[in-house]
Amino acid sequence: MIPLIFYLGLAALLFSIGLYGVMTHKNGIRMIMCIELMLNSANLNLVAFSSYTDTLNGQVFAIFSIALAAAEAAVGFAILMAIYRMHDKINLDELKILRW
Amino acid sequence: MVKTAPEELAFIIPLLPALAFVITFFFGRKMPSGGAIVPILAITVSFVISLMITLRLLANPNEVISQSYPWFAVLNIGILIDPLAAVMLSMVSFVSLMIHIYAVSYISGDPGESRYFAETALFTAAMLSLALSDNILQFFVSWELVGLCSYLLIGFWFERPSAAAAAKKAFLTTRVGDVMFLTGIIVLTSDLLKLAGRLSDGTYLLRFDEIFSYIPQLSALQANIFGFEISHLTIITLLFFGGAVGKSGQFPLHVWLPDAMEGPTTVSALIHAATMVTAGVYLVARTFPMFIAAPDSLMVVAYLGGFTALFAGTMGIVMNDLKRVLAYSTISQLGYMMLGLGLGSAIGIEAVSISLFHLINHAFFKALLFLCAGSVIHAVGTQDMRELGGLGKVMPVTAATMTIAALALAGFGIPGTSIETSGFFSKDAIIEAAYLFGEHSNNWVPYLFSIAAALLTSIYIFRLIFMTFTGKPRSNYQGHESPAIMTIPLSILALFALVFGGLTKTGFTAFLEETFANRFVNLDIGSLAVIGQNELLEAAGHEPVFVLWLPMIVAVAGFAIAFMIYYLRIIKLGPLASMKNPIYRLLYKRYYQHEIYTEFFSLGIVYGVIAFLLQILDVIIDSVVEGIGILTVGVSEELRRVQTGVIQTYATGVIAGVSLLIILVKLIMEVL
Amino acid sequence: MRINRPLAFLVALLFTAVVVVGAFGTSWNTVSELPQNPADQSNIEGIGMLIFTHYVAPFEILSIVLLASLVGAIYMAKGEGNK
Repeated sequence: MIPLIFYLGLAALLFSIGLYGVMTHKNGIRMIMCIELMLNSANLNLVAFSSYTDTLNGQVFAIFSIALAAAEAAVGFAILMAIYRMHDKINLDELKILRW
Repeated sequence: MVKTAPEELAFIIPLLPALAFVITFFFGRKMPSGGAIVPILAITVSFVISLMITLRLLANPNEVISQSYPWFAVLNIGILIDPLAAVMLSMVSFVSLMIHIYAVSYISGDPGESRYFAETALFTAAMLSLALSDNILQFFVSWELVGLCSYLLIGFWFERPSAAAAAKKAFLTTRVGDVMFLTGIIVLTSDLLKLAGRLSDGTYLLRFDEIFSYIPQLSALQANIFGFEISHLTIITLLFFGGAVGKSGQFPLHVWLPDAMEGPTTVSALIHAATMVTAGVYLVARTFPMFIAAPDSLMVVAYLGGFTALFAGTMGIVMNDLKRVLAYSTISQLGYMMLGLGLGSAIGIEAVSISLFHLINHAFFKALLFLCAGSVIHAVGTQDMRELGGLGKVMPVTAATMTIAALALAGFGIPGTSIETSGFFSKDAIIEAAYLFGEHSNNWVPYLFSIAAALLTSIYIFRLIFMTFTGKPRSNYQGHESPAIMTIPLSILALFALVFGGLTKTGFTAFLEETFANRFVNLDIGSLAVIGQNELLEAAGHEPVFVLWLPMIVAVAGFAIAFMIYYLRIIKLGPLASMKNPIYRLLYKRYYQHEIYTEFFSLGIVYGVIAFLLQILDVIIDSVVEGIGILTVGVSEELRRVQTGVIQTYATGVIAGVSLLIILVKLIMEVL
Repeated sequence: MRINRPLAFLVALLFTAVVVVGAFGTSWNTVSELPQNPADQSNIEGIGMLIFTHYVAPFEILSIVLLASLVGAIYMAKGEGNK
């Protein structure tokens, strides 16, 4: 049987990869993809813990979080489209409206 | 009908004038003659209640009214009406009533009429609450309140720069004393807290009986000041006396009182002759057990009082302003009262009664003098005596009442008979006490001071009378007798000035000696005097006949001098009373007090030092403030570069921060 | 601004290290043996039961959230220009 820690390690790795992507990419779509990656690493953890503690709650939560990820992705892409219409690009590092 | 005991009405005494203040202040403008009727009625009721209580006390001296309510912490507000407070209450409400009635006519037509009555009502309320307070803190609060009213009323005609300046001067000068008084209270409180240890519920620390019960312990506390071992009690009493010096216009804080004559004459009569200035005397009388138990304190009181009596008298004889003469006379008489209290080091509790006796009599005749002066000023429009003269024919009532007041002030009377004015009883009692003191301790300075001052008193007051009422007018003026509403209070006061002393002489002294021996406080003055190393006289000695007669003789001598100079004009004062005579110049310039106090001390030293310190402070504060500003701008100029607005940078920062934080927490937990 | 790739890599690595060390350093309270049901290997039925009984309220709310986000996404993506 595969020990729990392997799942956790995989999730950590996936999360870090997503993190690296968020930190380095400028393209908005890529960033959203990386964020989805991080979200799914969390789902992986949920399912893993759920299986290894012999309860189904975690798996139900994973389903919920996948549904929320869908909503988040839909809104995220819609925002990106709006940005694209305004600026003709989706390079987020050039959007500095958050700056002072 | 339920008969209400007077003590249940006691709280009304100060409350009604305070209510009158509120009503007059807000609605007086719409009422006839500035709403004067409201304070007059209120003070009448106060007077009646005070009189009832006084009479009840007279019948049974043990019926002292003492009511206390907790205020905060260990302090209380309360009412204490013992013989001392009772006579003070009756006197204040009576004189205030007379002056209010007089003022209806005097102040009528003034645009600030309602303001005047509101402020005098407030003053009366504060003064009455001062008289009946049963703890030193409430005393101080009322003390400050009367000071405030004094300030407001001196500056009543504030559009005149001189009045505004005089009000400011009065306020600032008395402030010096007030700060000393407050310091005394603070020292007293901290000492009492130290001595009392844990306080049980229901003890009111600053109530007079509580204070007096700690006198022996307070006296035992020693402080080392400049190498001298000084009892805490001496420090406290001298600080209290400092407050009294400021309020009662004693040397060297007397300078505000002559300037205070800038206010309406009625104000001078009420505040700066009869009531407020006696608050200092009242304070010393009230805390007399502390004074007598403190070594040296009463000596200071006696010397300063005697000196002030003489010092102010010398200035009184050269003033040409009607009211200023009276102002210096007031200072001089207050000096007498202080002297009387100071003599307690030899005659014990009797000092309080003779001093208070003089206080009451003085209130009558000095208020009368001021009101007469006000009548003259009202009729003629000038208060320079050099422009007056011959007014006796035009204003017979005023002249007659003022002459009575002058006789009372000079202390005319024949010893051993009952043909005597009030001033004779009280002032001569003080002079005789000074003689006894001199005989007792071989220290004749207070006696000499008091005799010399009596001579000067007689000279200046008859100079005033002769210059104002006799001879020919020295300028063109239209004089007329004042209306009845002014002359009736004059006549009543004149009656009191003439006979009050004679009627109450024996009873008064015995009555006031009950002040510190009743169910509220029961003190043995004799044993307290031992603590203070004051040797009391065993029994009242018998003065030689010439001692009894001497005050009368100097009074007559003073009268004769004034008569010859200012009535018969036999002696020509030409060269003597000119600016070429250095003594005259010194007196006329009032010992250069203005130059010394105002220009040298206030403007030169105090103002100079403050200005210098301010400059230094400016530099320090400016550099600190500006330095902080420059630092903030510089640091933030650098820090704002962190805010790139790029989401990735933030994300990196957050993640790095969280990671490092976890590592740090982990490390710390490992170490611990 | 150009993202500093080596720095980002370093931070990601640091984070991984922290998480992995944390995960490995914890003794997880788990069952020793995975429950095995030879007859039915899947647990879909159990999840379905949970969703429609115990978690029915969150499920309904989630449907509303999804609907709202869809409406919002369509509105934003459609833009104001082409009404």
